[in-house]
Amino acid sequence: MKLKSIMNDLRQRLAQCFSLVFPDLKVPALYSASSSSVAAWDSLAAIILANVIEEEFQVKLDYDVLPELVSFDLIMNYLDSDDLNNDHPKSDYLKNNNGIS
Amino acid sequence: MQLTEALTIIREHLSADLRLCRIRLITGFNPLHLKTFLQAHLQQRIPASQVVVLTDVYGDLTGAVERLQPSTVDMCAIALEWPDLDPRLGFRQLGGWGYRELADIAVDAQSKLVAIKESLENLPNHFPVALSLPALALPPVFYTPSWQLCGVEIGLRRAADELALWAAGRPNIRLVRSQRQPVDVRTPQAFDFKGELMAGLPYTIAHADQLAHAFALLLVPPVPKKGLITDLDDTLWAGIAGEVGPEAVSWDLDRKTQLHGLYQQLLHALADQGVLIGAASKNDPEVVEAVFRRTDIVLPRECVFPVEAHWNAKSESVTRILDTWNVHADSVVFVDDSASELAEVKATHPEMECIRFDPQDYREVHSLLYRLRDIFAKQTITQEDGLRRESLRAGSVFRKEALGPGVSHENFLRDAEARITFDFAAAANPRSLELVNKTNQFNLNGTRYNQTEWQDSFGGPNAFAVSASYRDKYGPLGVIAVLAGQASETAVTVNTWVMSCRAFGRRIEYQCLKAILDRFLAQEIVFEFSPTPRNEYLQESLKLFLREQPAGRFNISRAVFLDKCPKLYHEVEIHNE
Repeated sequence: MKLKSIMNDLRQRLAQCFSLVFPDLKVPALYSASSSSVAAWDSLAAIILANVIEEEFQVKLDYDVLPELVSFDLIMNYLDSDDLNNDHPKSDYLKNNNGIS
Repeated sequence: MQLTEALTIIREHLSADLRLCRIRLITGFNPLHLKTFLQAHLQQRIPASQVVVLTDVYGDLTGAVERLQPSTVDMCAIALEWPDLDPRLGFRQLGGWGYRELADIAVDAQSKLVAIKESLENLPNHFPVALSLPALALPPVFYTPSWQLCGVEIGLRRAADELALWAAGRPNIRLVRSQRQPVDVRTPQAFDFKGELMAGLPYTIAHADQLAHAFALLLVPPVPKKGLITDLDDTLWAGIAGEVGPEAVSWDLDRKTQLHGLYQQLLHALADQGVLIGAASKNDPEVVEAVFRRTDIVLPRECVFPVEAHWNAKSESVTRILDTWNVHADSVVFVDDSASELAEVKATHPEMECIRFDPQDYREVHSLLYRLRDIFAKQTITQEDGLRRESLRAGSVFRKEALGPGVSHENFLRDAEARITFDFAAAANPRSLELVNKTNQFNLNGTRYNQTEWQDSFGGPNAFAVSASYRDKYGPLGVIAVLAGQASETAVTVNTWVMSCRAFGRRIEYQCLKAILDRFLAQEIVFEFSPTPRNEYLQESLKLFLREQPAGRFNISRAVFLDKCPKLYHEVEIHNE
């Protein structure tokens, strides 16, 4: 149950990031957004989105991984994976930060 | 500011109802985050407008400056970096860093700077431009070691500084002052090497935010405060004058009290630029005057008016000083060494900025000196700034004599030898806009303008702006009122009308109305009035012409004006009719 709640929290916070960068994108389309379905999602918007996610989740998204992060789900998976170059293990981070937004 | 916050601010102001304020941002690089932060910082400074930041093609800063059309935007920000002067001074081109290239780079840079200067020179004087010189360090293009300053680098910097020196003398160009020493390109605070190579984004997010903030402050400067009220003992000088005696208080290096001397020196400089300086002290007035008579005092007594020295509450003194100055508490700063005195004043005047002068904390006092400079900073010093202190003193005499026993107010006004000069070429006088943007109590509708909006409002053939200067036997007040609007064959519409609080009680407002009725031979004046929380004085002044309190636009006919206008004793002179 706790893991599910953490995932929901992460999903909501990621949705807020999307909503800031793509203000025209509404729920539920936001959760299925991808660079091919959102016209405004160009290379510059991808950088802004990455930087907003960095601020929100206190993580570093390198330029190298941006080409792979082309949909809401892929970013969600990435944030949930252990690939992040983060000082804090993500599960601990999420437990210790009840939403910084 | 974080990027998330910036995007939120921008999003909150996306409204079709707001007036657009268009900014051209010119950079040679991709301004992605700089653009976002500039929009957000400007949006915070002008919340009544929707800020739109427009950019040009990247990689051609010189061409973008040349293509700039002031009629299409309200203002402009230019972030110059070394690669804009020669691409070899950056990291995205491989044109060569050899010593043979250096002379050519210097020539190229010089010619680019000349081209930029020529383009800037063609911009109208009222079009605001914020310019930042290269903030990032040069790449390793010189053959000398990095710890040695190379002659070519000195030449490049001098060429950029010459542009800056010229620009600083232009009325419309304001330069960003970097808070730091030139940023080392190898430090991560400002330069994002990977961002530059991967996406053409040379600035870190933090630096983009900092530069955007500086641009916003330059393009929409904060309104400077008008006055400073200072405590005396252990603030203006070290020691309690009543205890140690007027000769024993100090403000010098010898007695390790230089902090107070520096504070006095700053207050003297502020007084010279027209800032009102008053003193509130729990003290014996004779003792205070004795200290001010000392020949080594750095802040002369005549710079301080009024001095409230007695044993009553500080807040009482502050209230009296505000009354004498006729300014609102939010335009004034109070400085005291005592936290409890600051709290007492703050409780009575919550809008007043109250600042502690703690002589034990050198770092804090050092920072206070800069903070006070910023609070009272101005773009230019006008003739009126030099007159303000004396005119207040004269105004105080004026009011005392007007209210004196056995003096009829009517006789007093008649004998004041008042002269008003109206100038119908007021639109171009920078004092007019300054007065419009800082006046509250006598302000027709509270509308503020940027330079471009102000100039644009005189685009029509019937638009006018007139200023009024005043002097009487007590001294000159300088330019103290501005009216602007449009004149038709039968009516004059006034959409801007402000008058300095120093000029109240002299019937100048009525003479202003008479002047425009006479000038345009109008049968009525239409006022684009809006009530504001602070313009009661204007409402009060016009009450005698109106049956009821106005809630919005109203008219006064020539007949009503002539019927109700009190007798005016001023001698009137008209310029540029």
